[in-house]
Amino acid sequence: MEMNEIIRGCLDGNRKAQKQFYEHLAPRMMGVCLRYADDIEMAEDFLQEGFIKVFTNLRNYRSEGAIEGWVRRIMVNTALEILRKNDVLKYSVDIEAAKAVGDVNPDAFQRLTTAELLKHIQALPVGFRTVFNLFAIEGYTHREIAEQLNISEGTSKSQYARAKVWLQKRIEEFNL
Amino acid sequence: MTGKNEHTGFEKRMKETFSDFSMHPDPAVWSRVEKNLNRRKKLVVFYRAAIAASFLLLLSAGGWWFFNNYRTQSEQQLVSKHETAQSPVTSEEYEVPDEVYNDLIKEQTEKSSAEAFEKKMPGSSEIKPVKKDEKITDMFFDDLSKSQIAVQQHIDKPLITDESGYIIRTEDELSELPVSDVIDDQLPDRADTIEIDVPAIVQGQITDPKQLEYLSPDPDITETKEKSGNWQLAMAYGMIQGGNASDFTKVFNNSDAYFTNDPFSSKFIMESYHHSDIENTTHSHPLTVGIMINRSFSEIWGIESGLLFTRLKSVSKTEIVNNEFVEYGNELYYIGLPFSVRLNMLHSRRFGMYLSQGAVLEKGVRIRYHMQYYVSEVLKDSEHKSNMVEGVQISSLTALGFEYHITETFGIYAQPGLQIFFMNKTQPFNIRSSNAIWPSMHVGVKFQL
Repeated sequence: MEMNEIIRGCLDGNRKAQKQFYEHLAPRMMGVCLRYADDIEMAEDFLQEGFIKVFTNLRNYRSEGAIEGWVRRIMVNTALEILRKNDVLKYSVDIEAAKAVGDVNPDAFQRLTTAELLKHIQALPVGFRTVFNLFAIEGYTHREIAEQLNISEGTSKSQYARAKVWLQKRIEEFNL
Repeated sequence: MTGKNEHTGFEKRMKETFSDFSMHPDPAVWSRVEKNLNRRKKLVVFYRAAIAASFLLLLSAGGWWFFNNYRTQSEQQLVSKHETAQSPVTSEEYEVPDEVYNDLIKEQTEKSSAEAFEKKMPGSSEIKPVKKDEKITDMFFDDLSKSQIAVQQHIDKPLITDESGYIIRTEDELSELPVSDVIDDQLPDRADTIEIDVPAIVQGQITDPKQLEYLSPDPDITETKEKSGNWQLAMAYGMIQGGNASDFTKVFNNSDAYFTNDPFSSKFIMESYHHSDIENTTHSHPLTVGIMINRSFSEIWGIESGLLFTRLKSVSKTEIVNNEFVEYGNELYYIGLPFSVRLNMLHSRRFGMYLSQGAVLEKGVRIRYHMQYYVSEVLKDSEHKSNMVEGVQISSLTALGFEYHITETFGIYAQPGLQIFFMNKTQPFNIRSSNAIWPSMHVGVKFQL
């Protein structure tokens, strides 16, 4: 069944089509949720809530854009919403200040598998991890992150910079 | 994404690394999603049904109150009519009551056919026609025209993403970014700059918790722009059960009987009030055709309006006395302007169910009536007239609609409902005069525009 047909089925409330839709997108979306979560259980919570939102709002999807991109954005927003609701972001711990550190060596990151890199990202305190994900992987600008998370642009920049350096240090230690 | 952007090669590599990253979640996640969706579906139906029930309850209460008040005044008027009938005055004593007077008696004395009536119905010239009363129900309609619907739509500027959901920026968007964003690619090398921007963090402590406080971002859930296909055009056809009243009291002495005393109606009243010889009245099936246009503002509600053409037809027959009887008939044509609010209760790609509440303003454009005098079932005399109709007829229409979409742009619908006519004594006698509450049924085809 083609995606358009599956979407039409979902709009009709067809449970079989909804399951097909879920099965088609869930693995990739789980990959997205994992980056925002501390562990698999938390990521599955994001995924569950995200798909409920997707199905209840699918009527608002406009077919001009790819469905995966639309679903992905809902997943990210859902993750952020849950983190905020649970006050996890508010009480996120700080990471050690990184001063006078040189350029990030991209090779250090390249030697890692995606799963290993994910583990290091998950080890970041949640506030830093969120900014890192939004900026480095989702492609948001600092201005957009600031608007999205209600923080200053400067905070977004500094958190990202420090998360990046912190990650490099951790990865270098890991590679040794 | 370009050199001007704050995203560098590092971010690009990160993005590539995670673009295809996937992991199969526990199958229990789908079970939980499915369970939640089932629960939500039941809740949505429950809430919509609850809203509809509350709405109908409110409407019934309003209707009950209205008809209670209306009945009381109408019954009082009926008593005064009977008092007039019990003590008739002669035509000499009768003073013409200005604009209230109708020309029935004049017509009867001027026309030769009137003599026949006089023979048949001695004393008819002494009858005082029913006076036109104050429009006691007008007060109930004032508020109807005041209702307003406020429509608000929220439009957000969407972010454009590639197939994987990453943000794609045009050159124009990049040029809009602040200079600080564009040149600030080397932040890790310039920790000093960071210290100036965010001193609280550089000190290694979060002094202001708000720095890490997040708001709920949800820009995509709302519609990004106005949806197409919000307009519907419908060709409506309506017909309801006609009526037959064998007892004339059901037609006139019913407190709901309330109509203007135009020449036709006055003769009719005269027949029934003083001679009680209307054997039966037959109302043909009211017929309505029209065009409706519907505008949806959200999944939940929309408004509807259009143009309706209605034909009403009634025929009354007197009892046969000495093989003679008279038939009174009228045919009324109305142009109606409906306006209603729709509340969607169920909506899927194929089926739809909605509750509609609105009002219909009808203007009678023409009445054609006839009186035919039969002897031994042979037509001996007849009179045909055609007049304009003054005043308007207002009614409320509550309906439950069912739609079936055959294609994305074409469908059929049926809309059974209940129409309450607010009689204001400006309209000629018709099916609504004898009973102000009638079922309604519209069926038709709909086109998604």
